[in-house]
Amino acid sequence: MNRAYLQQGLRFLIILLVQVLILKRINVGSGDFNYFHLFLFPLCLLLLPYNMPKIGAILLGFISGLMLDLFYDTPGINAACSVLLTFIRPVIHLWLEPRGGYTMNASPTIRSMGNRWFISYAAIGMGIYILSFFSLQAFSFVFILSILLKSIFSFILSFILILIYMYVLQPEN
Amino acid sequence: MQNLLQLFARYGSFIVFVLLEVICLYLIVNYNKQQREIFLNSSNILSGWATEKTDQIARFWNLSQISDSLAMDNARLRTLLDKATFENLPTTDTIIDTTYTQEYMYTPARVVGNSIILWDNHLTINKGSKDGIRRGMGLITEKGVVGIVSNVTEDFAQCVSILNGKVRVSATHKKSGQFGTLLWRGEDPRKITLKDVPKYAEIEKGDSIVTNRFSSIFPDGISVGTIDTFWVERGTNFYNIELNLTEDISKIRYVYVVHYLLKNQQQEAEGAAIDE
Repeated sequence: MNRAYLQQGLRFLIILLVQVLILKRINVGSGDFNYFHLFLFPLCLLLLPYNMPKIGAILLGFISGLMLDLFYDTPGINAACSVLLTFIRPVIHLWLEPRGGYTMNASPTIRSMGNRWFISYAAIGMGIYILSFFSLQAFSFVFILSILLKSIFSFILSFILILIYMYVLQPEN
Repeated sequence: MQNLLQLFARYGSFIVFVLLEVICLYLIVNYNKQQREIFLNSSNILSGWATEKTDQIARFWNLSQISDSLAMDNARLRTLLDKATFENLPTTDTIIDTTYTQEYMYTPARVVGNSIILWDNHLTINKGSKDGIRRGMGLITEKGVVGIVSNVTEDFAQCVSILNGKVRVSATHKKSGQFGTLLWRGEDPRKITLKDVPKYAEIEKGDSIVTNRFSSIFPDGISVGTIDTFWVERGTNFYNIELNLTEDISKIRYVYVVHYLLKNQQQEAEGAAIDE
């Protein structure tokens, strides 16, 4: 149990650092076609254990989102997306609940849930996070086309990144 | 309290979620330049729309007030027109000419009170002793006679209008030069009666009646009215003539007060004549 907490904590720390120190600087694309941004951070929130209290998860999302915003210089945007994602997370769990139910103190990883389940789970979660992120950044639906383009391209790249992470590290918790 | 706790247990995560999202939006709007501008712009559009709508409604309710103030403004501008002021010229334009002596002077005044429905009708004007108005001066407009000043305070003057049963003013039939006395019988505010015109005068319907200077109130030739009907009073040698007034007393707004500068001399001479 302690080991699980330690692993979660370390993951938060490392992914946050990777996100702000490396991924933030990567701007795929050229000139006006600057539609890509890599998100790894939402994975931390997605991998929180099932039995984590809802309010605790939301608060954790808020705090870690704010920390991310400190580096991104976008006060509130990442925090808002994280809070949204942590709030919706239990709902996604309900949607995707397998016949046997969940092992309550486990985390939703590939190893515990299998490929298909994890891909749909991560896709929904990442989609929500990325769409809300670009919506809040543009802050007006006047830019709907740009929001959608950025979201789609960033989603594809970030999702590939997450799958690589999951397959390479094979986290248990 | 227990209910409150139950409520929080059930909806706690939702409440926290809403609370934190509000905080995030507050942060976004306050600390991000672009979002702040968009937010301010949108709220300006919204508040601008709301303000405009309420303004339209308020304007509708204020219409009567606005029309009042416009009428006031109109009146003020009207006093600036030549029509309202040209009679005043003799006061400023004094020609030193020994052939002629200035005989009449005019002061423009605004009518601030008026009545036509009584037997003794009065007008009030906004000029008084301060402006040189004295009891017994005549009131005219560019169309015709109006009345006589009867009572003066510093800023106002009360005047009996010619629609007053007690007023007797001398008037002349313009064509023949025969004169009579005007009096109002208290019926129609657009009509006045001329009495005491001798029956040998040749008068016709439509002839104009003008003032004369016998009563030392009005100058010669100010229009009074046109003849409507006339007949010889039974048992007398005089006509009874009904006139249509040229000036509609009920509608006058501006009048000129007639200063007869030689009044004292005339009265002195007449008084002397009586004394003899």
